[in-house]
Amino acid sequence: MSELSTQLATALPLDAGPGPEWVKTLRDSGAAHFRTHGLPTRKDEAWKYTGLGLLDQAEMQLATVTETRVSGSLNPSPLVEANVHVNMLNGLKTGQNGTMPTGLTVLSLADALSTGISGLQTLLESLPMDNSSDGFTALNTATLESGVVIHVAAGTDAGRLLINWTSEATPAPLLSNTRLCVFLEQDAKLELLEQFESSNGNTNTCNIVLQANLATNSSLQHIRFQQESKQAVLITRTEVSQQADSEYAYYGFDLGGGLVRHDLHTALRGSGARSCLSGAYLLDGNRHVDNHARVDHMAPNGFSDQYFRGVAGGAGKAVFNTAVCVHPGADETEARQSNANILLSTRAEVDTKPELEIYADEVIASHGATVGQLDELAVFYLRSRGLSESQARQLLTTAFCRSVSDKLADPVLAEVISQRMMDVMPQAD
Amino acid sequence: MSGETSTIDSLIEQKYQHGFVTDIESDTLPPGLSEDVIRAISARKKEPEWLLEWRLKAYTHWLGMQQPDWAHLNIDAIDFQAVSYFSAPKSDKDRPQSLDDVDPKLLETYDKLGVPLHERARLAGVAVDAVFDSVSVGTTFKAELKKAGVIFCSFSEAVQDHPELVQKYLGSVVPQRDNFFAALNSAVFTDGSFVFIPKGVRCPMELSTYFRINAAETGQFERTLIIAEEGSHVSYLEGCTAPMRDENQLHAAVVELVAFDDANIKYSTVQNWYPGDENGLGGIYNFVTKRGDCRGARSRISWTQVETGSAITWKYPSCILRGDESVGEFYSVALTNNYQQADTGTKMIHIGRNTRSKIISKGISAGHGQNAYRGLVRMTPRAENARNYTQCDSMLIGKKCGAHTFPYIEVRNPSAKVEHEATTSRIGEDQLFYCLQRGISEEDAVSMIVDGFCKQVFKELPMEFAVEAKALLEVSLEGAVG
Repeated sequence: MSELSTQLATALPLDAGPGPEWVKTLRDSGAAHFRTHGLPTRKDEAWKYTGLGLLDQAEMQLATVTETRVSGSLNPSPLVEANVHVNMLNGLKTGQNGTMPTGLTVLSLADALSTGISGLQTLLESLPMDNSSDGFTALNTATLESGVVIHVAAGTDAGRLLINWTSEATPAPLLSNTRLCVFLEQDAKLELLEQFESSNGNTNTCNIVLQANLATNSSLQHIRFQQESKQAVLITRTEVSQQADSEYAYYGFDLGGGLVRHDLHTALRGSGARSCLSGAYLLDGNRHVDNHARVDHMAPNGFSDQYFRGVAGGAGKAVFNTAVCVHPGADETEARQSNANILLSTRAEVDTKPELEIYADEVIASHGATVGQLDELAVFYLRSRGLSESQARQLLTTAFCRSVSDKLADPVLAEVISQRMMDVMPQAD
Repeated sequence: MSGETSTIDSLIEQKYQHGFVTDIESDTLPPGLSEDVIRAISARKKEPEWLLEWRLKAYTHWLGMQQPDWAHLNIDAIDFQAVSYFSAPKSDKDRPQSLDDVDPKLLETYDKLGVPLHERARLAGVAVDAVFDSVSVGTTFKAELKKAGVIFCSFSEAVQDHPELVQKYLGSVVPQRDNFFAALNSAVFTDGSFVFIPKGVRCPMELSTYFRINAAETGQFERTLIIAEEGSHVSYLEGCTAPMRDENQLHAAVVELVAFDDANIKYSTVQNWYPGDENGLGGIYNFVTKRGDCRGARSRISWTQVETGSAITWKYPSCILRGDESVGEFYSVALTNNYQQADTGTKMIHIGRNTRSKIISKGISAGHGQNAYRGLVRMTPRAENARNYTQCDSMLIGKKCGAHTFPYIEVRNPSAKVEHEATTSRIGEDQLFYCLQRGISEEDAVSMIVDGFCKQVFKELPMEFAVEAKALLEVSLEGAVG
């Protein structure tokens, strides 16, 4: 185990903390897993292209729920308005405002654990921790306490809920562990907007696990926009379980962060479930963004579409791994994957791996991945119309990424995000 | 040394303990792997000291290595001490000088396998270097090749007759410690082919080697080395078939290709080792390291493979595109039926400027077969304007098989272009229905559709091979539909 892993393993509390017995058992299992395997290394296939160098540099401390809470909000202004705003600081819930629609419940995880919410135990216990590549999940489970539970009652359209994440620079870098649990009952609807922003100088690490349970015919729109500081580390894992005819749509935008890793996994357990995952990642400087997306088709008539676009400039490194697994019996599945990347600099790097695992024969599955440059003819065309070379390139690169933001149902949000992307669009050398 | 010699002698003198299937007498080392066995192989083949040292070094590396487990394969543990590492026909001393001198029983075995060697050689003008188990037993058309300056002989002969060439190039593309199976092969390889095409020569005929595994409980560890000097051109065909056995046999080969400026090497394989029976019993474990080094500018290496046999296939013919404007190609059809498993693909490492590579992979899964494409395309920072196009398509026949794709794409040059596309499909009921209502039987219809699916690869094969490959697919798919 690395020095940092040992340091973190030592910092893990010896007693299993408050809450019911099953929670203590769960924390113990996480701690045991972490003490055995530690943090993942590049020897783990899933972490082949991503090292934890940025994390290792620091004298990391584990955040605890007893941290002094800051009065007032340090959170940046929201990208768009939402029915409910939940503010998070250094992984802890600091406030909540807005008008709660009937049928929507938002609780802190600690409260939910003590009061007991139906299905919470099953959901928390269902998170797989299989091997050494799951070190961050183990750490998150071992310190399970801070987080938010969102519940949408059957038939309710809860509208937009914004979780506004920020970090404040601390004397010693902090590693915070947070868990989000989302329950959508039958026919329920929710738009979950996660906004991650932090100011320069923030060197903290957020380790967030989001688990969502989508009941029959429910629909979750999940938008994740992150523009963290260039030194920040953001490790996130999203686990979605979908029942029949449910729909999960994910839109991810990575504009910042020193080291960003997102494991996005959805399991289509019920017949007719649909999953559309899309994202854009923009890299410059020495930033490193690693997206791992996986869709498991476990029931017939499922549909999944993965659409990701990346631009890498400077000495940025973009890693993209997308996988579709069609299990036996998941007949009439249709699965598509598309990943295109533009490489702008001689020091930048793109590593992509679109995987297919097919165990059923009544399937339509395809994938495509490209790495290349802007079309020089298109650049020439725009220049002939009076645009400068850099304007032409920026316009084309933005258009390339806009194909993701244009998928958003809300044109206002799409425009805001497009503008933000344009502002930080990496330039060619 | 005297102690070692007596060990070698006792090993050599030891009678072969396991019965043969054909009546041909063989000289086989007892199962097991140790330094002594390696010394015995080397002594048996009268190898120079440097080669023995080379083997022993590889063996030392191998001892420190772990068998890889990253492939999408479910393999029973292999007992490397249960394999015999050397088996040669007994009539070694008076080895036949031409095919006419070859033991008729050998030729009969070839005939049974459907390879009428001399007829094929005469008809197609192909020179054949036949490998029966581990030792080359017949070489034809040598004189004609000699006239052109081409060296085409068994690896053992090359070690004796052209040691300077072997020493210079052996391990220069696949080093001893490259991987677990390459290290094993480097330690115990018994024979194989050696080809040297001198500067500016276009090889007057297609070269071909048929490898056979005959004796039970023997591993086949051949080593092939092809060197194409500046401006030369060669097409090499390799076919593999094996008689039925109900135990698993090990095959770990290494093929190294070196192409200098403007040289062109085309390497075609039809692999039909015994795949095991319909219950997954027996079959060859095929672990092969094939790599070509495009050292010179504008050089070209093209791999074409049709993989229908073997219980396990673990094989990634690769190209290192070092020379500017060099070209690498990989065309593959891999079929898995019954309980066969294949994890195969290629690596294209672009180092030189303006290098190009093309990958066309067609995987067909039937029965309980598992078929995985695993590939790597790497554009290094120096690979200005490099270009890759990859297409890998899978076809599933039946509900219990699997088709998988694991393409790794690593790009570190902003002027490089990489395109990868893949599809998975099945034989559509409407396609079948259309054929059936035109009076075509179901079996013929399936074979026609599969043939169409593989066409892009078959057209890269020399005609004789394309016909064989097509027939093999038909045979291999028997019973897969219905």
